[in-house]
Amino acid sequence: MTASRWVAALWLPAVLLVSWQVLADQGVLNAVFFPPPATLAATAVEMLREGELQRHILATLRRATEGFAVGVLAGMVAGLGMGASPFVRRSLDPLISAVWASPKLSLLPMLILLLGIGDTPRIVLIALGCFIVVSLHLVDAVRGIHPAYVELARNYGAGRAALLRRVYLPAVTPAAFTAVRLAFGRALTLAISVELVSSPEGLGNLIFMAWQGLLTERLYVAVGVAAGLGVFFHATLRWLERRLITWRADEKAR
Amino acid sequence: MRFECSQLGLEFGKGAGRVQALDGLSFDVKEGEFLAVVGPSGCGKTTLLRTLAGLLPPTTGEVRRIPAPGEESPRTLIVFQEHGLFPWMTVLDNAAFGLEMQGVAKDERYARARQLLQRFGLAGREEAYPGQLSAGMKQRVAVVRSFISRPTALLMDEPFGALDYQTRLRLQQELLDLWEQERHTVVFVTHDIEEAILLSDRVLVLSAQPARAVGLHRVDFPRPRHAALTADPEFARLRVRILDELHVTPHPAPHALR
Ligand SMILES: Nc1ncnc2c1ncn2[C@@H]1O[C@H](COP(=O)(O)OP(=O)(O)OP(=O)(O)O)[C@@H](O)[C@H]1O
Ligand SMILES: [Mg+2]
Repeated sequence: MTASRWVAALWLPAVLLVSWQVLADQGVLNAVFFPPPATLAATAVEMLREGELQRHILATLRRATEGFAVGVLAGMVAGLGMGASPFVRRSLDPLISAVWASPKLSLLPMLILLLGIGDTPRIVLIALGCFIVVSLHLVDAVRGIHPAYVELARNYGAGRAALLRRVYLPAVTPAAFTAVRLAFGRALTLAISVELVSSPEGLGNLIFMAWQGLLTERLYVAVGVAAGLGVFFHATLRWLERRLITWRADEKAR
Repeated sequence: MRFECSQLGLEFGKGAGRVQALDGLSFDVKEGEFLAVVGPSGCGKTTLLRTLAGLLPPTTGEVRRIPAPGEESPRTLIVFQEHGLFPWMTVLDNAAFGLEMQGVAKDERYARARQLLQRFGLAGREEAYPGQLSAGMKQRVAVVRSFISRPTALLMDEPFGALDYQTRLRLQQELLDLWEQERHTVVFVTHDIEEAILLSDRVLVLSAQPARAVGLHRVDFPRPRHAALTADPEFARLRVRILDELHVTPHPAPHALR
């Protein structure tokens, strides 16, 4: 990133933080409800020294990653299958639409009844969220492949295997990447949401406990860390995407 | 490979949205012949090529593809007018795609592709992606890919449509030179009547949509040919006749055009 981009990305958060600090120092903001950034930083350092913050972050990341891995894999298979076969698409579409439209957290009680207490229902819920994002993106991507490319490959004698390897897979790679990026964001939010309602550890649990005890410093630290994780992973996956996908769809179908 | 088309008709869609693209087309393409096809935009030229290649089954009539004696693997390749290159492959991989599908080893197919790319003025652009090329460059890559794949019949859909006049002349010459070595059957669609006459053995003239045959002309100039031919009075006469046919109201296809 160039310097001007950093400036553009950082000036607004910086202004907000500084104003917050100043307003809290002046007593305009109630320091109990809105502890100033300097206090929050001190709390964060304290929580890091005790290893508490790391423990919660790791718990959230582990949960998010496990659900993400399962969900993305299943989503890719389902998405490609739905793109390739109208029968598969028509069979899965109603279910996927139903889950897509419902707040995922509302499915948690049912999953607990089904899978028992423990981490499994939480991870399945996260996986479900990722699955929806990835499968929906991939169906569209496969269906958006211009038939001219398939015809072109066939004209040169491409069989099923060659079509998959040289046309379908490369054609959907950009969309797949976008879907993976969005899915990871979804995995993080879902992990934290699940932890808010049911989990002995994780950032969501940290937020919930802090809220219960009105420990506002810890509350804001946890919320800030969650937001920071989101920004970090989004930027990393974006960067990776730009590095790995070298071609631009000049002749975009649709 | 030669083609025999009888009473070809093709309709897209059904009911109110029905479009008739081809209507009662009968003609032959002889073994090793260079047939040019001219006709107004939207008349059905691309559709005709796709039908010849077997990618679109005709609604009525039939296309017979007859391999020459001893021709082991008949290959009818199209140089497509649009979406002719895979945007996710480099120029080199696009050019070598036909060889890849034939199972030619990587080193060999790249070497052959590089050689022909150079001949078509694309040296140094091998690693570029189609999105980074001009329309004319893309067309040239598509032409390279088709020639390199050793077709038994080559169907070209306005391959030089996006080129400026000078480049076009140069590439027409390049095409003629290449073709004279190979002499496979060619059907060459173009808007450009001069190009049609200059390159071909016969010119098939189509009416506005739906495409019907309104003329079929032998072009008897000796080969190898050169752009200077366009100044020949016989050339000019032929050109005027075809222009005439493109402007008069189309009459039903005479059955005896073969
Ligand atoms: N897949 C399709 N579905 C419906 N109609 C089509 C389809 N492809 C072509 N047509 C119609 O068939 C007619 C002939 O189209 P075609 O592309 O063959 O014309 P063309 O002679 O190649 O035109 P141009 O010179 O502009 O390339 C047009 O009216 C077109 O709208
Ligand atoms: Mg066309």
